[in-house]
Amino acid sequence: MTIVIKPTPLGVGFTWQSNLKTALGRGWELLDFVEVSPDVLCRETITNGTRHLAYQPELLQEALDSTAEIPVVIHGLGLSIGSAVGWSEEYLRILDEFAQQQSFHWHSEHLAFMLTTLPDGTPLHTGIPLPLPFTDEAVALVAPRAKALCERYQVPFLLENLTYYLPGLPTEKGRDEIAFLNDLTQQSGCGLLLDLYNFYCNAVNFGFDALEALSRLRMESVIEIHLAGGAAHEGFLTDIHTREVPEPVWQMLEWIAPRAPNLAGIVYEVMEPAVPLLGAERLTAQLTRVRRIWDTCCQRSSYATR
Amino acid sequence: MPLADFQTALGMVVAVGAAPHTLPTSQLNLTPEETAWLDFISDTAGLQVTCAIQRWWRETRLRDLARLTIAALGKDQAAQLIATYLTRNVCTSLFFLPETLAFLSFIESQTDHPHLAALAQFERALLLAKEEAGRSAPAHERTTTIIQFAAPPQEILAALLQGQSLPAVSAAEFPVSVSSLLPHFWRLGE
Repeated sequence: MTIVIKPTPLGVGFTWQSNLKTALGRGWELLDFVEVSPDVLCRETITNGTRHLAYQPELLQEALDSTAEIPVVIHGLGLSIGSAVGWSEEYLRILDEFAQQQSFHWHSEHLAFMLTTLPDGTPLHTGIPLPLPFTDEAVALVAPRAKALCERYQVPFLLENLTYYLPGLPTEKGRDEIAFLNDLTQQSGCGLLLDLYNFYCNAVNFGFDALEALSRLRMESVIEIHLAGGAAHEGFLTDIHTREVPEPVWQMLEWIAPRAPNLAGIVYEVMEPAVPLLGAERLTAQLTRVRRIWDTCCQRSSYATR
Repeated sequence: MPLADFQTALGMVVAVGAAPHTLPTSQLNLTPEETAWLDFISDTAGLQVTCAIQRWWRETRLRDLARLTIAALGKDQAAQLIATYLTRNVCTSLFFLPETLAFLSFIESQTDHPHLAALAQFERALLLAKEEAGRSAPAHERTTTIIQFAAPPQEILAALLQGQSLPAVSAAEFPVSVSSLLPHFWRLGE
C-alpha cells in the first residue's frame, strides 16, 4: 500500500514549548512549523484506577495563540498504539479536542506500548515506552490502528521508530527493525517519522551499520525526520533530547534527505529544560544547519505561510 | 492473546522488577521463544538500563514537584525513601502530579516526625490546590485543607530555605489553611 495521504512539505520544525519564540531568539525565524505534543498541555488525574486527561487552560491557550501564524504538526506521547490490551482512548479524546481548535498537517506517535495489565487484569503502566516484538501479530495489531488514525483525522499518521535497549527482540520471518517498519507502513498506508537519533542510538548500542540498515527502508514512507542529541548511560546511548545533534546523525540526514521523496519536515527535538542550557545561539546554529540541508537536499519549497 | 501476555511479562520485568524466572508463566500464554528471550534479557545490561531510565524518569518527576518535602528529608533520607517508594509502588502515569501525590502520601505514611508528615501534607495540598485553580474548578468543588504543624510554619519554612535544622516539635498546634481560593494557595490559621 502506498502512503494514503501525502502531506504538504513544511520544512524545518522544532518542539513546541512555552515561550519558545523568546527562547529561540533568531532561531525562531528559521522555523517553518512547530511540533506540538498535546499531552504536555494536559494534566492527568487518576480516580479509582480510571485515567482522565484535561487541558491546562492557560497552557492550551498559549499553544493556540503562539501557533496561530505557524503550521502545526502533532507528536503524541501517550497513545500507546502498540498495547495489545487497547490504546489510550483518553489520548484520542484530547487530540479530538485539540483538532477542534487547531488544524494540523499530520500527527505521529511512538511505535511502542506503555499500557498493559498484570495477570489478574490490574492495569499496569510500564513507565517507559517499550518496544514491540517484530512479529506478525504486532504488525496485525498496529497496522489497522495506524490506518484508522489516518482516516479519523484525514491527515497523514506517522509511526516513530523507538530507541530501545533490550537486545534480540523476538522476531518472525527474520524481521529486523527496518523490515518491521517497512511491513507496518506497507500494510497500513501510514507514514514513518524516522527518528535518526533514535536509530543511531540503536545502531551504536547493538552494533549494526546504520546506513546499511537505512538503505533497506521504504524511502517513500519517510514523511518526517527527528534529530536530537543525548547522553550515554552505562555504555548505552540514550534517548534524551538535551544536546546538539551528533555528527554521525548529521551524516545520516545528509544521506537520507535527498532519497526520501515524500519528506515533508525535519524537526530538531530539544526537551524544555535543556533549551536554556543550550542557549539561543547554539540552537540557532543547529537550526541553520537543518535549514541548509533542507534547502539543498529536499528540492522542494517549504510551506510559505509566514 | 499471546502479544498481550508477552507485554504483561515484559511490563512486569521492567515496571515491577520481577525476575523473569519468577513470572507466573502458567497464567501467561508465552511461546518458547518468548520465554527464552525473557530469560536471556534478565542478565543483560540493556534490561538494567531500561529499568534505570524508567526509575530515573520517575525520580525526576518527584524531585521536581516535591521539593519542599525532599528538602526537609535531607539528601540521604530522601534518596532512601525515594528508592523505597519506587520499589514498592509501580508506575501509574507519565504525568508529574499523580506520581508526586502518591509519593507524598507514602512519605506521610512512613515518617513519624511531625514536621515531615505536616510538610508532606502541606505540599500535597498545595499541589492539589494549584491543580484545582489551573482547571478553574467551580467554587462549590473547591476544598480547604487544614494542616496542623507542630511548630510555627513560617519558622519551619525559613529553616528549610536557609538549610538550617528544623525547629523543635511543640505540643501546641499551628494550623495552616490550603485552598485554591487563597492568594498563593495558603495562609496561617484555620
